[in-house]
Amino acid sequence: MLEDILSAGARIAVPILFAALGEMLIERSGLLNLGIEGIMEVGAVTAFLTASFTRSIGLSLLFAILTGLILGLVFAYMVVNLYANQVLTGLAIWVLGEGIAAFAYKVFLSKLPSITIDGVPRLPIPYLEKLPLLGGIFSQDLFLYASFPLIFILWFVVYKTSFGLAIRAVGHMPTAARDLGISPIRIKYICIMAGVSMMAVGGAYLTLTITNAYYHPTPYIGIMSLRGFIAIIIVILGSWHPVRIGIAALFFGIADATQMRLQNLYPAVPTYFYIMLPYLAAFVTMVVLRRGDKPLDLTNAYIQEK
Amino acid sequence: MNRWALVLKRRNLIFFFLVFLAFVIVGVFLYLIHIDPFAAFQALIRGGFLTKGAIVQTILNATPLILTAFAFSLPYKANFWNIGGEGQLFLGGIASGWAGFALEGLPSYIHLPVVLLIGFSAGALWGLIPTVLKTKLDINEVLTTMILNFIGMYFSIYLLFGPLGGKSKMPFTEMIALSARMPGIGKVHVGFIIAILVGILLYLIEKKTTFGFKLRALKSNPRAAEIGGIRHSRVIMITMIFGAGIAGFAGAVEVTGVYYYMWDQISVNYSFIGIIVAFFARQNFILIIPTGMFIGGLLVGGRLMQGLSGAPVTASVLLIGLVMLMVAFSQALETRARAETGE
Amino acid sequence: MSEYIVEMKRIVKRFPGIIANRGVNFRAKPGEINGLLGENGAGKSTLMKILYGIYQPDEGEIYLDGQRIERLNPTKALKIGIGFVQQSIKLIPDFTVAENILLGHQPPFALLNLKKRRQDVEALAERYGLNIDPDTKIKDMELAGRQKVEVLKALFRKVRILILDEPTSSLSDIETEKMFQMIRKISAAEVTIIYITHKIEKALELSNKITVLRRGEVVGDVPLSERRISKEELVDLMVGESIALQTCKYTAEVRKEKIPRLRIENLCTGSADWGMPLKNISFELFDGEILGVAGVSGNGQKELAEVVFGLRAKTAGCLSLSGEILARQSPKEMIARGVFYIPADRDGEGLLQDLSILFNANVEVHSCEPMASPGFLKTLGIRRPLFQNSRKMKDYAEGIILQNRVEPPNPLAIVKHLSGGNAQKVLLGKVLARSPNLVIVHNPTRGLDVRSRAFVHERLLELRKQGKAIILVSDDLDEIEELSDRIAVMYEGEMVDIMPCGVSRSLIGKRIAGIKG
Repeated sequence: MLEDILSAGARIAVPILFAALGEMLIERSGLLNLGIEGIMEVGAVTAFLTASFTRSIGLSLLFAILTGLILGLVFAYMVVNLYANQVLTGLAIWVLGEGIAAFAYKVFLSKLPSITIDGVPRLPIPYLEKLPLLGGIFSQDLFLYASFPLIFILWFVVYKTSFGLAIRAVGHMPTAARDLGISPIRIKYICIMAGVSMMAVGGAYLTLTITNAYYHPTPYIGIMSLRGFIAIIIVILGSWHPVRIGIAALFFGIADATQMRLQNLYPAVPTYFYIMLPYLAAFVTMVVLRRGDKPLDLTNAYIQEK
Repeated sequence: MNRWALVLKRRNLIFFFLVFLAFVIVGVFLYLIHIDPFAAFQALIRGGFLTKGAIVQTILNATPLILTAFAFSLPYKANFWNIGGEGQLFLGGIASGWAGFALEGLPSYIHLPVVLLIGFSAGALWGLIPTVLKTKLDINEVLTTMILNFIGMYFSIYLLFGPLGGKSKMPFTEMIALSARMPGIGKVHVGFIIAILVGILLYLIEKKTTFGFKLRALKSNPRAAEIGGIRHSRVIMITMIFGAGIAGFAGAVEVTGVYYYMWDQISVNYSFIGIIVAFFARQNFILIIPTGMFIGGLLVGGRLMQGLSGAPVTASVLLIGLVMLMVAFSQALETRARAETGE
Repeated sequence: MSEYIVEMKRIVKRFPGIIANRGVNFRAKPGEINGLLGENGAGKSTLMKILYGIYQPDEGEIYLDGQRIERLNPTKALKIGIGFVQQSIKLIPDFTVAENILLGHQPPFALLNLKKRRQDVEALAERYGLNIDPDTKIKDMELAGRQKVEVLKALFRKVRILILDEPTSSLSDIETEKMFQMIRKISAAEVTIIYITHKIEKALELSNKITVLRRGEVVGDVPLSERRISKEELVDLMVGESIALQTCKYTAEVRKEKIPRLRIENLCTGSADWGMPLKNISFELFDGEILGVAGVSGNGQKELAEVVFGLRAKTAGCLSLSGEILARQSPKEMIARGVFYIPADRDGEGLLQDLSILFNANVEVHSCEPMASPGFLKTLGIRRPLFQNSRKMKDYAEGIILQNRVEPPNPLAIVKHLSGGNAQKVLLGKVLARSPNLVIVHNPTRGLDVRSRAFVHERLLELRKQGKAIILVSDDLDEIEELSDRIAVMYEGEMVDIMPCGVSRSLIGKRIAGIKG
């Protein structure tokens, strides 16, 4: 069963990981985006609908990213060009995303073909998949495999290229960056676009792989079930570092998977207590670390300034 | 007059236009799926405001919206962002739920106020955590209050499934004692009146007391206010004790006035929508009351819209989301206009 | 090709209420070390900011290598080889030295290749005799190191002209010497150095040429190889002749019988992150006197005012007010004891810009009777004043408007619409209306027209006549000379001298410039 948990945990971790990596990028450029949930939701529903109609994973991803980018552009324009209040705008994007997703689903529901979608196929790696505990991790789908190089790429870009240096500079002291010829506006837009795409893909992954379906439990909470907000926690837990975020996301996924299985086996175990623990951990981390790698300018997230 | 100055001058007009635009956009979407938008909006208005049952539901929904709007707005006036209302509400709900069924043998004129007070205090204590972190350690309150939301919520739900839960394994407490229930007319409980009174009280405090003076000075220029002898950290502390307390109180109101027990659906993100209400009403305590009723009506009407016109409930979520965006957008335009014209 | 690497001709720069540069001519030869000397408001920083493209000149031209340069901005300036190390360090604290230096240096998607660049940085540092580890984070370095990093940043980009604004400010003697060595090495590498300073002795030691600015004009241009000039001559050039009307009435008798209103002993404040740390400040202030605090801004004057008022914590030393030792003060407490502070930055720190005169006038007093009262709560036995009495607040504001002849005489007028002079009247007036025991004013007449300035001076003298104590911190030597009974000079965070009024301006100038004796 442990193997099963690890395997499921890794899968559940992927959407959160993608979202957290995207948010990390955005926060590193000095912006706080609280609308992750809405963007992921929109990505999820778009991917699902596209997959149902076209049976193409590639197209599903493409459209998911596109719709995510639209929301991202709205956020970017308001926050970067108009100095909008980031908290307010982020929350608005969240609700808007929920609304769009639920609405779109309702609208197309009747027209959906009744066969469920296949989802993303799994590609087991020969030999490695037979490993005792970790075998589960090596018989996953492309996305999950892709997360490793993604983490690496992000780490490389942020820490080893001068573009990454510029991003970090803009996140700490945009005025200093501007004096050296870097355009904070451009950097922020790029980070938002990239980050939002990752979030949308994260949402898409959930519907394409894990659930193979889409649902909207309550009008305001969709399939993501507030995982978008978990991403924010993960970013803090991982102190804005891609590898640590990866580890934190994995732990979260495993905890999630464990909790689900335990709930079936031992109904008496206080599951919500365990659900609460990661948040507590993030809180303590935040208080203790204080700065860590946190982009200095992030504290100005809600004070309009230029 | 350059265009930004024009924007500034006509900002109220622009605001209402944008909100109207939100309706138009939703109308267009409805039209695209072959639903008559006018019928849908009519159903929305009727469902939210024009039938007797609707008004009752609207008031019931508006109360927590109004209270959580206060909970955000009061600290905001001291330059402190309290987005932890949801957690404070849950804790207020669980504390008052417990006091509601655990304390026995009290006459209702004691039991109910005690329960409400306990709810208030639970919220206030929870709100104290990010406040101290900010004033003593300068830790950003946006992140702390946000995380504490989840911790508060999940802790409350854990209690519901565990020690404080009822005999069934469902996340409900036992029903609270009769003596702890809010009086009211039909379904409309007295909490609504209390919310209005709180709003009036807050408004008067802001305009007429020395404390209100301090708030206005701090909002204008915290540094100059300090030089004038006003202590920022002290003011933040007071606004948060009361602000978070009101959020906890909102939870207590839901428990004692609507459900008579505490459960995990005590709030459907009321607190976040409350923040929008606060901005929509421009942080004016009196205006928050009708705004809360307006948004509450949209929520209620939205749920009923489907039955009355075939428009899906989700259209109302879309509407509220767009309205939120428009509120943020008009705020942004105003800020930019001020920056550009040096106002 | 011109023999000068840079020439600035007939530069004029105006700001609201002041002309910072009046037809300034400046030029420098390659590899030359130029000292730009002057006291507050002389226009030196402005001139260099124009050269670096932070400001655009209203009139005049700039030539680099004989070519006219137009519409400069900092990015362009760096590209053409002009570097500026400003007083406020713009380094990112969480980055390492190497990262700060490399920021913006390469095309975006280039590999950072830190390892190799690190070595480049190290080599560069060594070349100029700097001992810097490229992997240290800026936040872990002290001020002297950070300044060096800023210099390194410019050198890395192969600047040909390096502007340094007060490079040895708050450096110890040893560090100053090291800085000088570095500067000489840089100059030897054919880089032209222009550095702004008010320290005459240091300037004489280091420069090839000294240019002195006063009140926006060049009053002296001295190539040191061709002619010698003494410190005293430079002081005179820098501070000019005194045009103050002496009104001091300093007498020895006045002091003996009184307990000082304020006594400061060995006061120190902390790290250099926010401003100049104060070292061992000791002085006494008596009732009925004005203590002028002079010095080039940035030498600790603001910090002194703040620490006395309780806005800044002291790390050592003792402060006693009216004979009572105060351990930790807060502004609120000080106000309750009759001590008030009028900050220099009227708009940013003194007034609530978007609120009315009425509101601003009442800030310090809003919770005192009769501006507030317990109202109906008195019946409940609560005596704390909690309700604002708008009638009384308005009367109070009107009183202040009247006393100070504020225009427009409307208590509901919004402060940001007032002229500078009237805003200052409100600021000053509301403090004076409290009958303070001790007032700390900083640059009270900055940016004011002649009449307002006279009015402010009148009110301060009135206050002194009433037997109150005043600390007058000012960038304006004329003002100091006119009003003070005693004159203290701040230099590098120390109070280097306290002189009776009536001393020659030369002497004051020497102290300001750090010259002892």
